[in-house]
Amino acid sequence: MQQPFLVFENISKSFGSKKVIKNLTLSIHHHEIFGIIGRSGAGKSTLLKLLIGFFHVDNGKIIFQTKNITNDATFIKQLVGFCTQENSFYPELTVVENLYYYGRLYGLSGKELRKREQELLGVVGLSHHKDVAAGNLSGGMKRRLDFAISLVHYPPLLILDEPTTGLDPITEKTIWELIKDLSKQGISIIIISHMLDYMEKYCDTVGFLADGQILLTASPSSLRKKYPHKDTFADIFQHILEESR
Amino acid sequence: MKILHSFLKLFYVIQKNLRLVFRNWTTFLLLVLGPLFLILIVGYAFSGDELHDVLIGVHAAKDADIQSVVDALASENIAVVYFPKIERCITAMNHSVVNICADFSADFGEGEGSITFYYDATRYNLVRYILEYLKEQVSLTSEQISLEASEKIFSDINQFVVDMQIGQEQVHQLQESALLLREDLVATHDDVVAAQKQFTPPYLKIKQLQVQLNRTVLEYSAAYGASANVTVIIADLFAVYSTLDTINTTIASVEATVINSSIPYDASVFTSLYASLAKNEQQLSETIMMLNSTTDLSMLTLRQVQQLLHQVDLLVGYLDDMDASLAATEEKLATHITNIDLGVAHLDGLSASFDTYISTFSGLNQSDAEQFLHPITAVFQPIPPDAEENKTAIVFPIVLVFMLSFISILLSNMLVLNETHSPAYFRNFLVPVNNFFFIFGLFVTNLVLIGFQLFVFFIVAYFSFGVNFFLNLPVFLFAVLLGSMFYILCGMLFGYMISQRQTSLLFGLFFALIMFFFSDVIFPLEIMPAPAAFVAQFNPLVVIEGMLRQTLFFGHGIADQWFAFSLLGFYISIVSCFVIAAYYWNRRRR
Repeated sequence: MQQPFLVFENISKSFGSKKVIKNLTLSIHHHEIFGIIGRSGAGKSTLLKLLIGFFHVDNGKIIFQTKNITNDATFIKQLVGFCTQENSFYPELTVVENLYYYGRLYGLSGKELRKREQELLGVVGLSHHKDVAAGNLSGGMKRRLDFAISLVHYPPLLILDEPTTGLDPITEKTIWELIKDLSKQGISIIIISHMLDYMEKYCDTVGFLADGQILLTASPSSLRKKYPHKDTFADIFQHILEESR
Repeated sequence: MKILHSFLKLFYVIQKNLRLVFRNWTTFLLLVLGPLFLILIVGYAFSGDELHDVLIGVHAAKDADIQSVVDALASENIAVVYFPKIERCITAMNHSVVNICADFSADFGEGEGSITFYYDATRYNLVRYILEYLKEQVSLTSEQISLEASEKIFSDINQFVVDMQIGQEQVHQLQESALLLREDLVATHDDVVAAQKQFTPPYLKIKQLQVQLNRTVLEYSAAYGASANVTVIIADLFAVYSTLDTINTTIASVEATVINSSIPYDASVFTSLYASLAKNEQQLSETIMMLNSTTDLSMLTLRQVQQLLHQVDLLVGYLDDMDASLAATEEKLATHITNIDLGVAHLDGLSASFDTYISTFSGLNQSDAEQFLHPITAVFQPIPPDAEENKTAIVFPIVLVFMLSFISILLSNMLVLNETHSPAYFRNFLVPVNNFFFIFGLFVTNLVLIGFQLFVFFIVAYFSFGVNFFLNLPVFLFAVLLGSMFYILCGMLFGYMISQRQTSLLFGLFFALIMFFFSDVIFPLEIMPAPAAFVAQFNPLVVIEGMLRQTLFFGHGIADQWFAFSLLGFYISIVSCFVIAAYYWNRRRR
């Protein structure tokens, strides 16, 4: 079996007396789209922030391939591209300016950036809007720009937190297609979303998170097979939740 | 009805706005307590009305008597320190060691003379109070000296007038006495002269008779034994006898005159005279009777005649003495009168002297009134000397620090808030860049913007208002840089510390206002209540303003202001630490 791309091993995180992540173990493979499903307050955002190095891990390990990268923020930052629920760029700057700014912060040279600009804007479909102020782009374009910025430093792992929130259905679909394309280009993706239908359709693996713990990880197709009587993915999730109680 | 509905809608909009504002408790506290705190602070800071902690530097010539003025200038809160040279005092004043320098004129003494006060015109708000105080104190001293001088002068005048009155009275009495005496003397003199006139004819007559009698006796002696003309001798003797009566009367008259006058009276002289006259008269009478009864002159012994003649000679001798005495008395009287005349002349001289004194007092010059009323002349000299000519330049440091504080705090606060509220802010935590870079980057960005604004400000100040930056430009720019750094860091601190925009801006504004009002911008520290002044002297605005002022106007270097620079450096270090802490605190809240 192929070695996992990224492994969370018995990860714990507390804020004061409140334990938000409890001995969580999780494996993500190369080129995989890994979906995390959970109710509000389940610990999804905390888990992501642990992964991007924003929070320090109290206990447990994060292993990238064979390297223990627990609390190694510098390495994690080079490893991960992250898209938040809200677009994370300067609306006053143009598309290119935003891209160049973050590329510079990741240490890319001018030459690399010019190349990366062509590649990324081509992938996200913003080549014709590169000189437009980011704030003036449409909702879908903003999301795509956010993807581009997150990928500017060639991260092998892209983390997406509710990537389609606030988008119209057509744009939603476009974004999911883009995610699939990025995965095909060799990028591993962890995605948190409440769009369970899309999660079922586009994710290779999903993990159900509740109360700081992963209840179950499986491919959507295997879950369908396991729970044939459940109409929707949401029903399956609800069932798993009830089983865990 | 439609209007009512419109008003209601307006009311709901306002109600919602107020709810939004007051929902945040920090904003609420700032809005309610901010002005309250501000007015309390400002009210307290401005409640002072007496100068304190003022140091007056004094320079005076060695023998100048300045104690009374120095005593007047000094008080419980105002001290005086002596300087050997006025230049040293001015240097100390330029370094804010003393507040004012007083240079006493070399001829200063007994509260008279001139004082030149050198004041630091760059401390424009203190100057007013200092000058007011000095004028008041000098005026009071001058007034006191004038009062004392007036009292002394009036007392002297009064005493002199009294003395003059007494003297004049005495002179008048003396004059009157002298005149009376003179009158007496003149009358006595006249009497003596009259007595002489009265006395002289019979005296001369008897002298003549004496001569005649002598001649007759000689003839009688020659013709002794021969018949003689007895009738002639009898006639001669009778003539003498007759004259004796007249002489007797005259002597009595002279005696009466002498007794009634102030001439020294010797009764024995007159007694001898009277006795001699009486004896002469008797002998003459006897001789004449004998001659009348004797037809033969031979019977008349020569001895008897010679005896008679001797008596006559004695009488004439007495009369000679009398004549001499009268002449001497007359001469003495004349001398006395002359002396009295001389005395009167002297009194006239004395009276003339009094007249001169009176004239001197009444002739006091009106032009002396200024000197009399203001014995101390005070001259006020601003340092730098041309300070009064360019008031804009004088207030420039305070305008600069005021602008610096408000612009720096608000600009850096807004930039931090823009950054922290930017959707891109979170991505800063994802990039492999040290967090310090973002803080420092923002700080330098603020510095560049403020620097640009200051550059424009300085250009306008230099060309339009004639502010001279070149006295010590590097240190001045360094002071501006430190000031900017401090306020930028303050604004950044508020931005990181208070995430809500309106609260953060309000806080920055209140902070700047408190700094502004709790400084010596409006009222000098020396007029604030002492505890407030003690705290306010450490107000960064006061420190920065002092640095800018001293560098701009006096060209002082860092070494001259090491304490201010160190203090500001300390503030910057402290605020920097707080900014870093606030940054991480802000990050943790996300």
